[in-house]
Amino acid sequence: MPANRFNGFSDLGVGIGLRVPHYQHILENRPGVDWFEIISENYMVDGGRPLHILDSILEHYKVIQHGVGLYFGSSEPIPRDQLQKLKRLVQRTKTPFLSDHLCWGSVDGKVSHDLLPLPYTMEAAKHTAEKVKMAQEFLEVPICVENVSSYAEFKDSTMTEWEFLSEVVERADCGILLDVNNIYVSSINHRFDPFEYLKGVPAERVGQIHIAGHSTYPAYLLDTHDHPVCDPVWALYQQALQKLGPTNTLLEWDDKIPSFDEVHREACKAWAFLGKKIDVVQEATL
Amino acid sequence: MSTNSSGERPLRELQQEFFRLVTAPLDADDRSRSAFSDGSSAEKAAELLVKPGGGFTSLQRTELYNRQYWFRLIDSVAEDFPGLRSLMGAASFYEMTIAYLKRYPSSSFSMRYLGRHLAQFLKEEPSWLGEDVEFGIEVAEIEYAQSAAFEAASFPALNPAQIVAVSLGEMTFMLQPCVFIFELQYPVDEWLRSTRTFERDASEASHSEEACRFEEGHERLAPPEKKPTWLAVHRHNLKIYFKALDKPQFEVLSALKRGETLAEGLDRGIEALPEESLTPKLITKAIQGWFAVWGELSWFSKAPERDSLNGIR
Repeated sequence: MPANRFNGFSDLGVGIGLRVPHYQHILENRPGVDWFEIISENYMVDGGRPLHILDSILEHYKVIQHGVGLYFGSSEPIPRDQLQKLKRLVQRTKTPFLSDHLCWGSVDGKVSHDLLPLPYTMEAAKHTAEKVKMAQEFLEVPICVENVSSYAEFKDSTMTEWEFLSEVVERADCGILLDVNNIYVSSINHRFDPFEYLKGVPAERVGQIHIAGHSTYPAYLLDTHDHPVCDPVWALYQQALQKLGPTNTLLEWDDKIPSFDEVHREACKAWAFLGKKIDVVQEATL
Repeated sequence: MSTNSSGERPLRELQQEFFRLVTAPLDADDRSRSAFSDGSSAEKAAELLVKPGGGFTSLQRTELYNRQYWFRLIDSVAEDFPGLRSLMGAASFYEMTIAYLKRYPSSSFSMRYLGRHLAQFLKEEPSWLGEDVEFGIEVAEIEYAQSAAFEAASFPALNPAQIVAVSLGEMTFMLQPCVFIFELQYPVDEWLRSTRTFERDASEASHSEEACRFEEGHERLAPPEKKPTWLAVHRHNLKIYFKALDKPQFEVLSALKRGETLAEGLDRGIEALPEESLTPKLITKAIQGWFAVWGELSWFSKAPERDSLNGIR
């Protein structure tokens, strides 16, 4: 199910996050990349170099927007001016869909700039779904919500993360950006079976996959996006593709960023999984 | 904290309490404190909210978010105010930034606005700057202007013929939003040039936990001698520059920035000219010179149309 209504019926292949250290290389060499993902907030500005670079990239590449600031799970509404700026960017990039995180990050007008975990309760699911629906209607593009990595679980939670994810996306009628690295990181931190998580994901709603590296500490994993993808995450990715079929995939590398060629090489490893003739198996057989 | 019939806390209350844990100041070893500043127990607050597990207490579970909050925000402010940090010294800047963020927490989706109240905060709390109050505040204002100019709007510039039309009163115009004008007591531009490069690049969103970049032994840099300074911070060809002005130029430009008419601005500029320049010939020469330079720098544009939001409401 590579193309569906949650990703604007896009069949994109393997993408890379557009990052400042690679601007010059990309514009001078125009490497063969299927698409770039941008962090929306970095380009929600009125002018200057960020938009100039973006316009140059848009001349040659497909760009998909990924955000870190909508905070669908925050108890307060998304500020109107933020949505207006985001919509202007959507009109500029013509992104077929956009994504942001299933998390919260602000309260009483104060912003943490972090992707904070939600309590997995029905109240939180209903509230979050309402905000996703409202944003989707305002922005007039499909939205995919991404599962985050987390380091704390709330005592109030009454369901698993994947049950919560399913509840939100069904209620909002939105898509999923399935981050397999985040599933893996959280599975170690909270001691659940990541393959169990995969089984619980409504496959028909997945519009994109994220893969990334993380850092290993003695007692936990940290989602740092500063390493190559590790073998257990590739294994989880392979399992996800068996369930979903070939799916738009993006490699995230946000810190200690190596050369463009190194990032590109790492991303292209995904083709080994996507390029294979993968039989889509039914959820029941997973 | 209240709960519903299922024993769950209302979402907003839960988030307020968790946010309190995330934003509580760290101790001297950059670890979460066991008590809030009002003396109440942070450990108990965490226990009410968060499951312990994996060898971690509830507070240790929230500590990672607590540390990331401060590391990320302090790093971002430090990146935007390298001159102020050099003036204050790393340790003092670090403490000041914590105090600043406690009073002026972020209220925007973007970290690029984190420093917008910093100069105001330093006016409210001048003791952070010791002997260098006036200079430190000016450095904070100029460094924030550099960030703001980097990504401020700019509109199609007026060409020389259009500027002539303006001078004939046939057209209204404005100073570009990416041009900021200052009257200073210190040569902040010269000092910043001597201490660092000031070309800016876009910041990246990141979710990694990093140690704060506050190296030990970072030397404080001395402020310069006082010298009346008029300065424009502006963007040209996507880069940020300082442009030295004189008093009459400052008067004209700041009047235009305030939305006054060209005639009003020119009156202010002429008033500020030295007495020996107040002949019709020299006044004309001065004005022509100013506008030639400013026109070349594309500092003027027509006022933007009201529908520039593409109809988004």
